[in-house]
Amino acid sequence: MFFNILMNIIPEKVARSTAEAFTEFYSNYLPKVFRYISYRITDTHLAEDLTAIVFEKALTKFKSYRSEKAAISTWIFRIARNTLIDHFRVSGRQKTIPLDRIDNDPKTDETPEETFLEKEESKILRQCISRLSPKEREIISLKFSAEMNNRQIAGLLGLSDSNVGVILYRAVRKLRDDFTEWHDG
Amino acid sequence: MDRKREVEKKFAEYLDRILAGEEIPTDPGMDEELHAALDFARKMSEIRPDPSESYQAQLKARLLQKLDEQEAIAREKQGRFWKSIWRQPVWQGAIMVAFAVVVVGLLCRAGAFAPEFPEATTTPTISPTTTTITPTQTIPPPPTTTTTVAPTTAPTTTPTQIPQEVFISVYADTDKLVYQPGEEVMIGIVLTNDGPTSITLENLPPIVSLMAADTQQPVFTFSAGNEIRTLTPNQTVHFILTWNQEDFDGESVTGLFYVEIEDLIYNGQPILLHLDQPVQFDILTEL
Repeated sequence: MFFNILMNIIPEKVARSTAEAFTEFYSNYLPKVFRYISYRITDTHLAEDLTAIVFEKALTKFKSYRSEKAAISTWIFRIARNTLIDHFRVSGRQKTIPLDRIDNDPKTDETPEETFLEKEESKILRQCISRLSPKEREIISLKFSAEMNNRQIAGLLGLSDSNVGVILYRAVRKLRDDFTEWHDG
Repeated sequence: MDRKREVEKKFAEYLDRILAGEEIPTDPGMDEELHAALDFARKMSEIRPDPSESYQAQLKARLLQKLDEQEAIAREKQGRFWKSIWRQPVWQGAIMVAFAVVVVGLLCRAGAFAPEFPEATTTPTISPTTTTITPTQTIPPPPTTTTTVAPTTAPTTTPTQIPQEVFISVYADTDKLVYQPGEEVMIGIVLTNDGPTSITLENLPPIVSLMAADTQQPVFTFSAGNEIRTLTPNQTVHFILTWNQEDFDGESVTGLFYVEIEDLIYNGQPILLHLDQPVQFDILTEL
């Protein structure tokens, strides 16, 4: 799609000022990167801190980004992934912190009950995701946050398309079973 | 085994469509496990965590401030580089020599060192403000040439009289070709300065009309903006517009549409913008 090409050339050509181009890039990718990290780190505050680190890194490299080398989504998620790897390396091992600090802004079109229910479900879902294997968790995160197709995920993780498909299907079924158990139990 | 592969493949395909916001029609013959997995995937996509608005705003402000600082440092470094060059005697000498060569060259072109001929003193001198040299008017020949002075020499003496040419190319596209009813339509516009000089454009982004293909009439128009941009040669400026599929009266519309971009104003004159490729998109009718 031409529009994708258009979106890709924006940071490279820095058509307007760098600040404007970066702002647009930020608006497009911040929610996706935050979701990706939130699926891997259950503490919302830590997820926010790591998302900020990702965008600080992206900012320093923004002018040197070249669209012919990688799509911008691949570029930013590679930075996000490396940031997570660094975090886990420093913190020793992957930890799951109880979800008692989620305080996202409520959505304006929902009743308080709906907002509460959605938060609860989101919390349970993230707990379920934290119990998946690292590879399953990685693929689920990339699929549902970055909305990458299997080929893009395969390219980023060095797997085959079909392998990604198998892991993804298996992981969603596992999550469904786990989620239903929590939800109903 | 093949069936399992088939189910996994179908799941991947449907999941991509769900994440893109598409509705998957219910198929009674669908594998039960696949159906359940897709239902759950849909639920997952609905309860994805979102960053809070306050966090987004704070981080954005912090990053933009950092960007400002980075650019200030880069500018300072660049300034220091030129200062350090200027302090070195070798470079000072080289720059002075280069400057002298340029000055001498300009004086030569202006004829300051041309030999004087007795006949020439009686002819009118070439002046951009007072004299017009016609093809029939000849200057007495110098010893080595008999060239007739033609009007082609005029631009060198009257550069301000050349009309400045403006070359702007325009490129547009939408994020999709087909939209579901109510889906937001994103229209990207890229303007490029294809000319050899910098130009300053006003009232950006330009007026963009969305035309119904069947009536060829506009259904919605984005007004011109009030931004002013100076574009150096080959520099590009882009804009993204979003449309909620509502016409001038706030009614939702469906059908085939195309994008039209109105003229831009440069120095008070309209510049015609022409899309090289027609940009069309379809809004599906709700079932």
